[in-house]
Amino acid sequence: MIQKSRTDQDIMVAWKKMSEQKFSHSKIKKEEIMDAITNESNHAIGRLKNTILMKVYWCLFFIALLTIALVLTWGKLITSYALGTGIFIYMIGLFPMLYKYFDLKEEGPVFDSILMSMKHEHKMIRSALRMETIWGMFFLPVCLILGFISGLDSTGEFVCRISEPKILFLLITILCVGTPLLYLLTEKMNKKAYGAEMKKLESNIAKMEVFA
Amino acid sequence: MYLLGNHNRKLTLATGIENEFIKKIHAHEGIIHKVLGLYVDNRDELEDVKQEVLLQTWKSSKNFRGQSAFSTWLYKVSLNTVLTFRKKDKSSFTSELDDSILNKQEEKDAKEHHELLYLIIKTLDEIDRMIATIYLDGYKNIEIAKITGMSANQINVKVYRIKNTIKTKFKNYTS
Repeated sequence: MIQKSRTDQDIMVAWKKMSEQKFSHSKIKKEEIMDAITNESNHAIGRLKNTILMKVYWCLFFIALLTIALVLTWGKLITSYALGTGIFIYMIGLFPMLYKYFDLKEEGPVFDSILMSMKHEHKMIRSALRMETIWGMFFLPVCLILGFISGLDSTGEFVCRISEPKILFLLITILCVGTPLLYLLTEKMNKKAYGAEMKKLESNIAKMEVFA
Repeated sequence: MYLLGNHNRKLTLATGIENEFIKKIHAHEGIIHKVLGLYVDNRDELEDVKQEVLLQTWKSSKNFRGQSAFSTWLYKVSLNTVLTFRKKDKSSFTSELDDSILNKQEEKDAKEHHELLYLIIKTLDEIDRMIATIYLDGYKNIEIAKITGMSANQINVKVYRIKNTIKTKFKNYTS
């Protein structure tokens, strides 16, 4: 019993010495704090916010581009429909992205405990990644098809050619191959960029949730 | 020279809120040093994580309403940041040390108890290391449960096991 309490005391003394001697050799300077608070975060949520902002810009760019094309090709019925649909689709893509951008809060623990903060972060990262995957999977093949249809219309025989088995087969192939391919590609890219963090978060949450 | 000028400009522009924040950080910086020391090995990495901890603390300071002590809250932010932060080469920097490191340490200088304790804590996994750090800093089990978000029962069991692990290893290498 005496031995046990002596070990306890030794540990507490060692802890105190460790806190005083091992970690306190470099004081945090005022400049360091000011620099840090004006810097950009390298945290997963901060980086995700930036990638979502990039996609918002891409959406705006395509909306502007398609609108210009629509004005320039005004009168060609099928092309106008295709471009109009494209603008509409990018508008649909833009709003959830904007919503997600403002929804992602970079502040650290907004909750009372570390576990709740970690769960919240995990949920936010997962939902943002899911949105990115849907964006990549849905909007890019649709874009390809719209471009293809616009190209067909320039030949002036859209109705005839769209019903050709060869063209139909090509469109279906773009959809059937492009969609899962882009899904896999975006999944892989997200995994590469955020997989390690998500795995670490999931593992720590699991360790904290499971009763020992 | 530019950097110095830049710093000075920033310092003169520091608002009252920022100055108050800086004061609080200075008063409790030991917590940040301790957390970083126990979770980050690489010196370059340490600077990055320190900056991130300070940034997250600053951003979260808007949510701090004084329900708990600043030190407790700083612990939460620092631990949360190191537990969710990832280093640039995309691997985890908080991986635990192998027990064999203790044998080497024992051969070197078994008399340095604080070095030994440091290594023992570093052999624990991330979550156990977090609990050990808060426990050794004098927090009660119920407070640890509040900080971490784990149940009180879970913390009681965890603290008991961690204490035993640390004590056993400490005794083995010092006796």
